[in-house]
Amino acid sequence: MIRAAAGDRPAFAAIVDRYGGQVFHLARALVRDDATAEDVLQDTFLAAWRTAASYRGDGAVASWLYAIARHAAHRHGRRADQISTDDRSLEALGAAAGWGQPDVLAIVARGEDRAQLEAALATLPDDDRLALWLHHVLDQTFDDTAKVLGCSVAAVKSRLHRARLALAASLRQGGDHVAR
Amino acid sequence: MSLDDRVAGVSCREVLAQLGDYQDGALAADARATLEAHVGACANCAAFGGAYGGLVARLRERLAPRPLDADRAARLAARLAKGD
Repeated sequence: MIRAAAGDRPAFAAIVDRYGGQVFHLARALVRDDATAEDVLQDTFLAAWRTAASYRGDGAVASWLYAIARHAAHRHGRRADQISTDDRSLEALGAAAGWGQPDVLAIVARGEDRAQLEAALATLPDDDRLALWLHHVLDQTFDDTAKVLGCSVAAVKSRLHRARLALAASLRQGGDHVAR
Repeated sequence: MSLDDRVAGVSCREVLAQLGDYQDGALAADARATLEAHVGACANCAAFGGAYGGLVARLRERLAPRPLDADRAARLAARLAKGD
């Protein structure tokens, strides 16, 4: 990254090669169609190249790219019909996710299917979906997830718990839940 | 059956609130032991905790990013070369 920051194109190409797939799939999770996700992918790496000189090296390259991708995805549109899971009690989320119900383990079975899992994720508010992707799919630490989301580590942990419950609820109820 | 039911000295409501920290390994040892004692004796929380942990595992397993396909990577390289 230090070489890329100094304008070394082959070094930057290596970063694109290493992180391109992650950035694309994160973008795909945020904007949910391939064409727009590709626009986000390109905008992200173009912005990264242009601002590489200002990269201070005090954080992971991945989380720096994911933060740029998050902003790029926002510029490409964000749903207006989102209801934050923060507005729901943990008890309500737990009940919707199937606490105490005989079908609760169906959540895991449905989660085996990538399409069902993606459909359920798509019902979540952007920041809930982003937190789940960053931490659980892209293996970002709590610290790095907090930097991308622009919040505290404690807020990330709370958001992850609510997002997992909301995801479970959406899977249990066939992907038509929580954010609608 | 209610979230207010108490098993092993802690309510299901408290377990639900702490489940995220438990999953993340962020509970102190005594709180972890208390939660595990509850889950070991509460069928509802055991089933729910299993589903919750299983779902997290499915996220990692099923959504692992794949590398960019060759066409998409070529378009990205062309845009970067063009620089606009």
